[in-house]
Amino acid sequence: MITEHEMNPEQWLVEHGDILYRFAMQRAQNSELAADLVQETLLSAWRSRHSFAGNSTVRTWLVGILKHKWIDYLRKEIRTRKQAELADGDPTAWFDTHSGKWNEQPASWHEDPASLCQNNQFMTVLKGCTNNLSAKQKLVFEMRELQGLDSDEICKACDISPTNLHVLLHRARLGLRSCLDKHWFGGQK
Amino acid sequence: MKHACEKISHLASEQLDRKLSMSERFSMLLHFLMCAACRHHSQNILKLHRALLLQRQQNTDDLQLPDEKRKNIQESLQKHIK
Repeated sequence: MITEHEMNPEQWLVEHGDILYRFAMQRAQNSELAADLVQETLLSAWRSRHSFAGNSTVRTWLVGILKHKWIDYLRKEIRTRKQAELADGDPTAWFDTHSGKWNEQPASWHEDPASLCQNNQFMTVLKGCTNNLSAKQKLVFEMRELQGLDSDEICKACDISPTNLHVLLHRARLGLRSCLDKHWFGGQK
Repeated sequence: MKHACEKISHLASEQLDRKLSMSERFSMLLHFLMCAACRHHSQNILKLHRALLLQRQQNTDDLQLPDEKRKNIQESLQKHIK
């Protein structure tokens, strides 16, 4: 059974504060916002402490609450944006309408993920390429690949279907891969 | 097959976000044998996916909740709970 000790928010802060903060930072990438999320998570866990079933660990339970908090935050953020801004007007024709083949051949990249992620210049170029995407593609790509949300979480936050999400991610990756071919891997053909 | 590359590159992207069915995987791998362009695209978006995963981990791996923020949270907890 759950002991008094385990149901103490100050104790949660001591034991799980760093983990929750790390998790919040991955998503929010802003220390103020991340700390707010940790605080809200602990308070809301305290308020709903009676619903803790005890079939997961306290840490898993707290992380679950934090995940929900973040989705709620994103939903609110997205709602305040204008619909027009989020319209996906991406007219890029990646494939020939008759043959269905690539209009521009993707090149092969020779660098591996471990060296790419260490390379600040690469990250800067990637950021520039991300800014060229349509607002909606950029939004879902960042949720998926920068914040590490899974498909379900993104669909919930954006109120879109999985099919819709996969189309947006696919088009985002087409755009980024092509932009990186040109601006980063250009000489590697 | 008409529009093959378009379909296959879509699957290559989806495989990063959901589990593909056996037949989807099979048609993709079969196409890769014949099409270097799709193979490259798929390898590249996978590299990008992995690089960003590594970056996420490495950015937050040894982060700690700063003392000052910890103190604020603690005070707020005491205020709300007592």
